[in-house]
Amino acid sequence: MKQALTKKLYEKLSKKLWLSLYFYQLPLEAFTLGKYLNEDNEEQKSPFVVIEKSKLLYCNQTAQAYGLTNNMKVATAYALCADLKIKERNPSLESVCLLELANVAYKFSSQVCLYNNKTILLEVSGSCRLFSDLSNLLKQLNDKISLIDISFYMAIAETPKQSFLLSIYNQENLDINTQNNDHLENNRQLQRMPIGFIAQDSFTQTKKQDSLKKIALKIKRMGINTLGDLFILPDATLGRRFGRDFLTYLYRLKGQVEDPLELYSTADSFSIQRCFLSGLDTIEQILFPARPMLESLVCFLSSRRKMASKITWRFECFNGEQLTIDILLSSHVQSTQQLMELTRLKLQQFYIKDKIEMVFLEAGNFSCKNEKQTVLELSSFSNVRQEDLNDNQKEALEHLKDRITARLKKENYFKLLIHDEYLPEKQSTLGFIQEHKANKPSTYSHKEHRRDKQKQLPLWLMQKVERITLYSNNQNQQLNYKGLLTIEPTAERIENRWWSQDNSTHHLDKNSLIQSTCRDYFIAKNKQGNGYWIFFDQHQSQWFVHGIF
Amino acid sequence: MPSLLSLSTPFLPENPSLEETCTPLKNTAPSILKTHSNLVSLDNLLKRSDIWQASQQNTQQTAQQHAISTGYAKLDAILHYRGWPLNALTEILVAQQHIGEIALILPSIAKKMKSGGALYLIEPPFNPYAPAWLNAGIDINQMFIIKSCQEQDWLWASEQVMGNKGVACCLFWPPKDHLSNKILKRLQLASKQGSPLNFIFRQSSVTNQSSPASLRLMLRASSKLEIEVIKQQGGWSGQCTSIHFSKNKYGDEK
Repeated sequence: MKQALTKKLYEKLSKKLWLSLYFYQLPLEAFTLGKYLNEDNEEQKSPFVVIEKSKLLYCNQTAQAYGLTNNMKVATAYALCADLKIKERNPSLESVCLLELANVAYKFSSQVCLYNNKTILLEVSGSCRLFSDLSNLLKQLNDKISLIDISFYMAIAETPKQSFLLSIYNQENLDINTQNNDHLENNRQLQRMPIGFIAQDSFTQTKKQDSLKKIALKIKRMGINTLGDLFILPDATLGRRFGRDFLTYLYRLKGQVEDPLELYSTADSFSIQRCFLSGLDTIEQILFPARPMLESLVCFLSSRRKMASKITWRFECFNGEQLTIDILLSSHVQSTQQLMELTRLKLQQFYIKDKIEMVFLEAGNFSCKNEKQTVLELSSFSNVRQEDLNDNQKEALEHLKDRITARLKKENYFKLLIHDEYLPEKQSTLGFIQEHKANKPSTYSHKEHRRDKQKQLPLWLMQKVERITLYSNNQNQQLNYKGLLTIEPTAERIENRWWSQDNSTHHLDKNSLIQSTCRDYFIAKNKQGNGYWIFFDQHQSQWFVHGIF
Repeated sequence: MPSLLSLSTPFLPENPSLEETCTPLKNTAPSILKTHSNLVSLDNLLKRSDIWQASQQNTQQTAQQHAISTGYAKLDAILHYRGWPLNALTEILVAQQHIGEIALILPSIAKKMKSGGALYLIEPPFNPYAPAWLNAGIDINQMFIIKSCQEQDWLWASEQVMGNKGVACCLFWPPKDHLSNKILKRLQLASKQGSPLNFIFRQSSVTNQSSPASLRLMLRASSKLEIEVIKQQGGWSGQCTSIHFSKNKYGDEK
């Protein structure tokens, strides 16, 4: 019965297909990601190494040509190559790069796993059907990763651990393994694999490699050189000698028990960075790597059917100074071309003082693409139907708003707001569009609207009320503002804080700090035909102009 | 309407080739004639909105295609297409501001915005008072204001807005009097592909300056608003009319 169950489980497991992508030069290439696309790039030709604890860890091809090798001391390396560029290993940069690669992999499979700090695993059995066949999937994946320009080995096997070991073992003859996905050939390779390779693996994703390294060494000392030799030993013996964890590891490697991998989930933020050893000092230079970075973002968003409300560019100069640029987005369609245009518009406002070493692109606060924007409450007053606009027009309008926001300063672009207030200057205000992108319901009520509809109101309101002088003609006095004014027989009193007992002029309520006001509004016209909205301030006993018709 | 080509063919002696019939036109418009195996389609040429045809009757259908009613019958009567030209730049020249120029265009803006789209005010002289615009039937949630920009920014913004299909109407008050012909031409070209209603408000001092705008009106204030057509595409200029605005209402009183 137990055997039958194990067999069933094995059959279930064997239906899966794990593809391992092993980025063997990640610590080195994290610094040069996406730059070799430009063949004339000087950085490609210059010798560059990554060091750890004052020793060379990775050397690029030019550095190797100078005779530099791994584990060489920095002083020796400088003696051999004076123009050498050196960078300390940066694990955080590597993890960001790995996340970027995981985002690319996520386009090909929903089951993506960051296996270790250099490897990504993805389950592709379902995706093979989606991409018509395995070779097509691999070709497309290869093309996508080539755009990022990073070296990698890959292997396909039926268990995650098998695929990982094969990807680091089959470095020379990849094609045989990946293209054919021969189960028997995979087993043969695994049987021949030197025992030392398991030292690079770990029991689980979270545990450190040290324990497996020690076990691999012990096994080797016992005279067992290959995995095939190890597999023929009885499980009970192996369990007793090397512990239960090691036995479970072997079961997972062989596919006898399921490997509980922690899958890469849809991240709630996007982050990508590029390092430029020679520095960037013009906008055009920045825009060159910006395009592939934005392509990664668009790929990230489209695979998750999300849209970003804001993207942030961060530029770090060699002198440590940082420049942060936020680009607000309201458009539902977020294409690379549109994002590039917004980036260009925004960058044109800045002056680059020092050379930029690092470029970061970050995005967060994603919303679902299908989510409809909140329809404005006020549409019921004006009977305006924005739904009548077709999708292209809506999209064009949203993109226009984004472009204007990117190009103009915050204090140049406004939205008209209406509030449930008595005083005209408080009732109608201008709000910065960047702060009112999300449509908030207005406090302006239907009752208020019905009341205002009966009145003759000015189209324009002055930012500051202007005093009206009095013109004395014999015994009559006339209002004078850009000519003598004639008052029309319409009047309206606007008074706030009338419930307050104190009627003193310019009373300031101590509790609410609101100034009490009592104004009598009139419409006045001058001889030139200009219509003004004027008022008499009861507290100040003074005439003012407030609006223009 | 049949093309000139199809009309002329039966009268030609001994049925000459089509190419021969096109010879006079070939010299004037070679690039057009070379398309589609050297065959000229005059029908296609005549469909172009920028080719004025004296014989064309200004029917109600063509008027609806090219214009939107101003909301004032008197003004519609003196305009060639019986309304504000669509996808074109309209220049309104005033001796002094705030004599009723906005009230003149509000009915058509409100009508246009009912079918969707945004209203952009670029460099307006004052802040708009929301309840008044709401009373005029404008959706203030679709109303955007661009102001206090540098010259290069307001020029850029006006071209972007006028050239956008999602915008229903653009009102532009250039902060400086003199605008070069090149700038106005760019705005006129942008208008053709984008926003249907585009108005630019300028001082009457530039009346004598040439302008590529499709319609130019001069407004003067007296007891009524006096309107004079300075220029209009497809029609004669020089017509005058006057409008009296009714209280609490824009457009003709009914």
